[in-house]
Order: sequence, then structure tokens, then C-alpha cells
Amino acid sequence: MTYRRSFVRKVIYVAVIAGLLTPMYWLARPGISDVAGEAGDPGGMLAQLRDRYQLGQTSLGEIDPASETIKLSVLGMRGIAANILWTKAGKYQIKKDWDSLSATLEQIAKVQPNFISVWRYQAWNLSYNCSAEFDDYHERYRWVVKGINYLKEGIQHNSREPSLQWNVGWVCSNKIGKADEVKQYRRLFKQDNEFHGSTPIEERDNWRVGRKWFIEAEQLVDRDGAVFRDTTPVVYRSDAPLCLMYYAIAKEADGVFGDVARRTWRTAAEDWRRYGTIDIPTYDDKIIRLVEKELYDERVKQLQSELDAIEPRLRKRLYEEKLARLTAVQRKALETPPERRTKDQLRLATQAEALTQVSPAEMARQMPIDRRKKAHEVIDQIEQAKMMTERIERNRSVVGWYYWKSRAEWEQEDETLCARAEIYAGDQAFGDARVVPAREAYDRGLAAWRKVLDRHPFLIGWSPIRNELINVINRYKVILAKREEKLPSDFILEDVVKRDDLIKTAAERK
Amino acid sequence: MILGMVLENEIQPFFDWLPRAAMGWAILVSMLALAGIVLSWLVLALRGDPWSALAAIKRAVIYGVQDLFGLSMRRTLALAWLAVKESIRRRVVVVAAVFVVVLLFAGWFLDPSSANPARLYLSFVLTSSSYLVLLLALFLSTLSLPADIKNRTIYTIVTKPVRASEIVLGRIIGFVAIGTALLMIMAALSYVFVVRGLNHTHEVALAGLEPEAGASLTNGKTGAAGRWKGSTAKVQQHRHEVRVDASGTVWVEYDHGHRHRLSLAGKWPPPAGSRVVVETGPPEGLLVARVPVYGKLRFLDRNGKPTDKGVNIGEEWNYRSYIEGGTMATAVWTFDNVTEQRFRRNDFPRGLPVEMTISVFRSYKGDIDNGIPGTLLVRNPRTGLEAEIQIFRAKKLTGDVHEIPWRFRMPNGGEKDLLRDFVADGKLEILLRCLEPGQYFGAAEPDVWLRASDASFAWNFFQGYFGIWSQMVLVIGFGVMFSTLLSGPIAMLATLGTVSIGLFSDFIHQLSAGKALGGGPVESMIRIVRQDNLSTDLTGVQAVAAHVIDKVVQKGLAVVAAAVPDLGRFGYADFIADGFKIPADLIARQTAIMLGFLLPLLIVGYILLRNREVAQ
Repeated sequence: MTYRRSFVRKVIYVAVIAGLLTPMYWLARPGISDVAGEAGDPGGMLAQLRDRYQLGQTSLGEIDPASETIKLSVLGMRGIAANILWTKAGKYQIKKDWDSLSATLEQIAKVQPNFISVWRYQAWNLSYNCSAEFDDYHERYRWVVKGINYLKEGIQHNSREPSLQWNVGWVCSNKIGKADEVKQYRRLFKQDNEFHGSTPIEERDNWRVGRKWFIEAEQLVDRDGAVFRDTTPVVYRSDAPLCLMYYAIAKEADGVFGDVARRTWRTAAEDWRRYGTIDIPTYDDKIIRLVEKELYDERVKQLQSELDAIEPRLRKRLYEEKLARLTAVQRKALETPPERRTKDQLRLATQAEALTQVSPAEMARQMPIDRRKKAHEVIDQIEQAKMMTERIERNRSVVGWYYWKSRAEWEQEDETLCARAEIYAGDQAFGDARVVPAREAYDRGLAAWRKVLDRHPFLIGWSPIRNELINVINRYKVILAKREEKLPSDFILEDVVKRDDLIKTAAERK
Repeated sequence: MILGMVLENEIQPFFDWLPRAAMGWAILVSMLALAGIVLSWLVLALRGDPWSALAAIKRAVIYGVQDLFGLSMRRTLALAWLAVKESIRRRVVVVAAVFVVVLLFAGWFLDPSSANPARLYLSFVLTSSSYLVLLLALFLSTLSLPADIKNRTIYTIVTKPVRASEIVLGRIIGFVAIGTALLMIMAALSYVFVVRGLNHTHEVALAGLEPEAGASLTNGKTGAAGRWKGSTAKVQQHRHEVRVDASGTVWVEYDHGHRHRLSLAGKWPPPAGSRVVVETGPPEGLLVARVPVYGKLRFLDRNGKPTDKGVNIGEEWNYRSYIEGGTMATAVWTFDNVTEQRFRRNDFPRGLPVEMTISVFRSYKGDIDNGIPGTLLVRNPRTGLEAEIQIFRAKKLTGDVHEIPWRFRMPNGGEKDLLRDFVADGKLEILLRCLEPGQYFGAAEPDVWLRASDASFAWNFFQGYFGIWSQMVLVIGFGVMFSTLLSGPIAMLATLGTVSIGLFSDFIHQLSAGKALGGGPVESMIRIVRQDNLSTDLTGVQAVAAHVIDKVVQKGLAVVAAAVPDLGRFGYADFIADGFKIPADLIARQTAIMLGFLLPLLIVGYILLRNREVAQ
């Protein structure tokens, strides 16, 4: 009897196990990817969910057997191993033991292959900190590229992480393109066959290469739904078009002017406009487009006209009432033309303007009751439109929208191209110890700049342009000094010098 | 290129170090022995009476001395052989198999694009050998005796006329023997792995060479005037620049720490349109054992007056001191024992080789296309006679070689001989100055050295394994000692703890001295729980309590750190990887330290085993 009961129990167990196999199979069947034209298998429910939500190890990127081996061999003490390696890396860096540092970073990457900060931090460390420790720029360049290659290795293991692509773009573009050794780095970068492989020479400009990587990062976000956490969309979307701007600047620094430079600036301007048409989410989940501020401004004016039309003359009446409440000095300040106002009057005028502002809300309160509802509707729309204007304006100021839009346009003008070409020629001549041709080229260049500034007076207010012109003027002074001359009293760009002095004096006073 | 070795602690000559160290050791061991005797007497006195306790101590000491000095090598070696057979039974040869597997998969872990592959390979094989052998020593030494005691197989030994000292020493010798055999196998495999792994040649397609800028060409038949340049094929993630002059003399530039020889006899200039490809020789300069002769460094300030140190430019690591350019600031090395016998002119026909690795600091960018200019001079320390060796462009931390000519043509006419006119009583001074105002050269004492003839790399390599062997002997000593008292797993933990303290000795010393960031164990625990960072001060009552407890713990830690050997110093991997001969003084000192620890371990192990029931 006992034997029979035991046997029956075993049969029941086997039957239950067999019965459970079916749901287990449905749940846990592994997926098989398509290979050589043969269709794969999406796998069970878990495999499909893993695939849909990108939770599997293979969803992150390539799996490195060496990395997996190391992770297994530390017997669960991966965190301790990582800590020890990071400490060692820090020590090697302090002691300038670059070979050991490099080897330790490789080990850290194997222990923590999917920890994005590891790749970003150490790549940055290599390209910015370690490279600066060398005296020979060839070695510095080598370490900058080491950092880029480190990031590229990280991309293999984390193919869906746009931050790594973005960082490659940043190092290629900004580190190489804005370093003190920019000339040397750009030359080495173009000649670096190991880095570029079979890429043609003309496509090896660091700004263009950087732009490609920025676009790759954006595509990961747009196409694959990846999340970019490093910075806001308005900033990272601006990096690719800015690369074209800096490319144009770099081309001129290399001595390329004329139609080629004009075309380069035109391409940059078009790309900047395109950037302005992209949907950019803001921090409060609204979508803006940078080109649309003027549309919203127009809309606000339109709506204000509509509001005025509801109760004509109300605005004027309210304004006059407020004006009447101003003090005499405030009123006088307001009545004085802006260019004749004293310092105090400027302040008083600003106060007066604020005090006499008639807000839509005030108008609504003063409206007859039967028209208030319509007024509030219009006011809501005005508020919405104004908020959009403010959002766009804030984001524009973050990326220097006006500066770059304007710059890409006036850089295409003949006078600007001429000015730059002449100054460049002057520098080349001075470098070859030909002082007279240098002086003559500078004179022509400065005259061309005069025309540019006359056409665009606001340029003097922009510090990058003003600083550039001050540097040009300083170099001109050096050329004049070679001929024992000084700047003439009626120097053609005297206003630039005066403006710069004013700003420096004000800064010193602070 | 040649890199100098970082030596933060000077290596004292062995016979200068030995008397003081031996005295210190003798005092410490005597104090520990006395402490042990007094403690034992106290325990026994508390159990019984003081006089019988004293008699028991006296008996134990006499018996112990008799036991130790009456040791029979024949019996000891028999027990050692037993230990060897037991180890083989435990399949220790698996370690060799694991090592082979590690070497086979080494390519996964070695960065092929490293600028110094020799350093990487050598560090890898030495480190992996070290860890494997130490693990082996740990397991063997800690599990053997406790297993015998647990299984009662120890009775088959203790029932024979065998002393406890012979059991302990026999085990140690046996495990050391098996470890030595495995280590020798690993050393041989590592040597072959490194030599074969680094050996390579490059091909050079002569047609790919181009004239250097400014060189004028003649027709292909008569040969090219000027210099030609190109590069070799890429092998092992690098290639070399190649330069050929009109006579066909070739320079293959250094890259990745080595260069190659190349002869173009009969193949230069190549006929027009030819596809001649030549192959370079094997790599040179990769696996070397340089014998540096270091001098004593002192500094002169910007006015030429002696000063303790050079300028501190704010680096976190103060290993190097800096001299200001464009001033009288000088770094002066005084070399001793510079004699004809030591530096034979035949061995160095072009002059006495001076190698250096200096640092450069720019206070402004300056001319970044060229290095900072500096000058090396040689001076007689007695007469002050000076001569310039060379004006050079500094290469920061990438090594440079200069040759001091044997004969100098002086500015006022006439010639001077280096050894006769610049060396006084065997002493020679070499001066380093930076020539560019506002820039700085940084140097430490080992950054400039005279290079005597190289030693054998193979011998140096195997000497490195001697260091690992010393570590292994110590681990076995500790393991056997712990296993005489503790059970297997506990003995293993204790030995593992000892090894950890030994390997992280610097950190433990910092902790015990209270210099580690984050404080002692209690303070660290508080910081972990509160997620405070390391640099903010703790406040409140708990901070005070933590500091008090930590002070006590730190004292204990200091005692423990002193009782455990610094295993890291037995590793000579840095010397081998950097291509320097391991100084004999260092090996001798570390061997003496190893023996200095081994003897007390043997005695303690004997006492502990002697007092266990199984051995009575």
C-alpha cells in the first residue's frame, strides 16, 4: 500500500511538473534573433517584454566576454573592486603614471561597462586633464584622442546612450577646436589616418566630425526614444548647428575667404534657421520653436487690439488716470526725450513707465459686466501668448540665438569677408617680417571693418566681436610700433577703443 | 622612449641598513619573548602558585630550546616530503593549469594600444603569478594541519619520535618546495609569453618613402639627395617613423618604448616603380635591465645660492622640485664612484651616457611648437671646472639620453678629459638649468642617472620571481602558524587578513596614524550611515565618542601593522616593468626581513602546536 501511494504521488508530481512546463514555456522561452535570412523567434512573454522595454543586457550594447569574466571572478565584490580601481586610478594620475592609469581605466570599464558616468568622467579626464600634463603637443593630442577612443569603446557597450555620442562630438569639436593649440590639433586631427580610417581629408575637419556625432546623439533621442540627461534639449540641439558656425570661423582662421567662406556661412545660417524650427520641449512640458517668438508677439498685439475693441478708450482713460497720479518729477522725466534724460531721469522714467502700464487684468476689472467674460477670454489668450513669448525668449538667450543668427548673416557680406581677408593677409605678411605690406593690408582691413560697423552699429556692444577687434587693433599697434608710429588720433575704429575702455573702467570700479 | 623610475624612498646600501635593523629586530623579538614569558607566568600563577608557575616556565623554556636546537633535518625533510605528497594529492598542479588559461586569455585584458606594452605585459604576468601563488600558499598552509588534526591523521605523526618544531618546519619547507616548483613553471611560462608576445617586426615598403621637405631629388638610378621619410607597416597597434639619408643609413624612431634596426644594404635607392619591401629586425629596448647609477641631488635657488628644495609649483605630489628658467637656479647631481673601471670607454665609445626624465612646467604657453630649452653641464666638485654637455629641448616625462663626451673642447682652446679633469675623488657633478624665463624644470633625485652596462633581462626577470617567492614563504609561514592553533577556515581568514594588511600596508599605516580621510572605523561608519562626505568635520557628541574610540583602535592597528610584513615591498614588478635591474641591496634587505619574520613565526607555531593536546 505504501509503495503504491508513493508511486501515485510520484506520478502526480510528474504530471504537475509536465503541466507547469506549458505556462513556463509560454513565459520564459528565450528569443532568437534573425540570422542569415532565417526568421527568428520573438520568444516567450518575458523575452518579448524584455525586448519591448529594452531591459536585456543585449539591449544596452555589445557584451564583452572579458568584462563578464571579470565581473564573475570578483565573486560579487564588484563594488569593492570598482572602488579599489578608482582609488588606484586617482593615485596613478597624481603620480603621473600614465601607462598604469590607462590600464586601470580599461579595467574599470570592464568592471562597470554599463555605468555611463565611468565612461564620461574618465574620457573627460583623459582628454582634458591628462593631456594637459604633457609638454609636447603631439602627446597632448594623443591623449585627447585616447579620451575619444575611450568614449567610442563605451558606445559599443551602451549603444542606446546618447550622452556618449554627444561627448564624442563635444571633444572632437570643442576640445580640439577651442584649445590654445587649435592650429596644431586641427592639423594633427586632419592627418590622423588611424582615427579617420578611409574618410576623405576634406571631411576630417574636427567641427564637421563633431557635428556628425551630435547628430547621431539627436537621432538616438528622436528615432529610438533614448533619453538625454546631460543638458536641456534647447542646448544639445544647438550643438550641431553651432559646429557649422565654428567651422566657418575656423575656415577663415585657416585663410579661406571669398565665396567658399560665404557658402560656409550660408550653410551655417540655414542650419541655424532649421534648428529654430525644431520642436523643443521646455522644462514645463510645453513645446516651443525658437523661430516663433515674433509670431507670438504679433499674436499678443492682435489680441490686445481685440481687447481694446471690446471697450474702446478704456485703455486711454486708465492710462491718463495713472499718469495723473505720477509725481511732477516722474511726469517730467517721462516727457523728456530718452536721449536727453539725466541719470536720475532715466530711473524716474522707468518707474513712471511701470506705474502707467495698463495691464489686461486691470482693463478687465474696469470693463462693463456684460463684456467681462469676453474680455477674460481674450486676456487668457494674451497671457498664454505672452508666456510662450517669454519661454522662447529665455531659451533664445540660453543659446545666443540673436547673436548667431545675426552673425551668420553679416559674416556673408562682402565688407566682412574683405575685412577678415585683409587682416589675415596682414598677419601673414607680419609673420614673414614684411611690415609695409602688413600695414597696408591692415589699413584696408580696418577700413572694411569700419563699413561693417557703420552698417551694424550693435556689433560694438557684442563682447566677442569687440574683443576680436581690440585684438586686431593691438596687433595693428605692434605693426605701427615697428615703424615707430602710434595709433592716429582720428583712428578709424576709435569708437571701439573708447567703448572697450569704458567697459573695462566700469568693471574695475565694481 | 626611456622612462625613469619613480623611487619615493631611497634604497639604502644593505650593510648600512643591516646593523640598525638587526638591533631593532633583536630588541623587538626579545621584548615580545619577554612579554610572552611574563604573560604565561601570570596566567599560570593565577591558576596555581607563582613558584610552580616559574618552574613550569623554566621547564618549558629549557625544553623549547632543546626542541628547537635538537631539530633533526632528516626528520624535518621527511615531514616536508609528506607535505609535498599531500599537496600533490590535493591537485595543486591545477594552479599551473589556471595560469596557462590566464595567459591564453591575456589578450582580452591587455590593452594593445598601450604606449608601453612591455610594461603592461610584465606587470600582468608578475601580478597574476603573484596572486595565484599567494592563493595557493594560503589554501595549502592553512588547511593542512587542521585537516590532519580533525581527521586524527596527525596521530600517525605525533606518536612517532617527532618534535613539534620539526612538524611545523617540515610543513613550511614542504609547502615552500611545492610553491617553488609551481613558481618556477610560472616564471618560465611567463618569460616565454612576454618574449614571444612582444616580439615582432615591421615591414617597410621603400616605395612608400617620401622626400622630406626641402630635400632635392635626383633620379632614381643615382640615388636621392637629402633625407627621405616614411613609416613602417602597422604591427601590434603601432608603427615607427623611418628616415633614410642619401647614403642609405636608416633611423627607425622610437615608438611604444622601443625601436628596430633596419639595414638597406643593396636596396637603396630603390629603382623607380619598384615594390621592394624590407623587414626590420626585432624590437630593441623593450626588455632591458638598465643599471642606473644615481647621484645625490641638491638645488641652487634663482640667485645661485644653495637651498633645501626647489620651487613648489603647487602639484599634489611633491616628488619633484622645480628650478626656475632664465635664472641661476640649478639642480645639481653629485655622482660617486665614477671611475674608469666602472665606466669603460670601450663600452661607451660616444661618451658617458646620462639618462633623464624631467618634468616641465610652463607658467605661460610660449612657443608650443618646441620644447623648453635647457642645458646640461658637467662640473668638477673640487675645482669647479665646468663644461656644457648639451643644450636640449626638454621632453616632459618622456625620457631623454645624452652622452657626456670623454673629451671636451673648452671655449678658451685646449681639451679636457672627463675622468681626469672633471672627476675628483670619484665624484662628478651634473648640472641642469632651464634656459627660458618664466618656465620651470622639475626633477627628483632618481630622474637623472648614469647608465652603466645593462644587466641580463632574463636574470632580472627571474629575480623578480624571487620577490614573489619571498611573499609566498611569508604567507606559508603565517598560514602554518595560524593553523597550529585555529581551525582551517579560521586560520585561512586570519592569514587572508594578514595578507590583506600586508598588501595594503601603506593604507593601514595611514589609518593607524590618523592621516586617512574620513577618520577611523567608527567615524567612517557614522559617515557611511549619514552619507556625509569625507572632508566635512563631524560635530556633536557622537563625533567626540567616535574620535576617542578610533584613537584606541588606531593604536591597535599600529601594533598590527607593525607585526605584519609589508608584502607590497617584496614585489619587484615595478623595476622589471620599468626596465631597471632590481638593486641587490633591496633584494638582500627584503630577504633579511623575510627571514626576520619567519624565525618568530616558526617559534610561535612551535609553541602553539606544542601546547595542543595532540602534540603532547
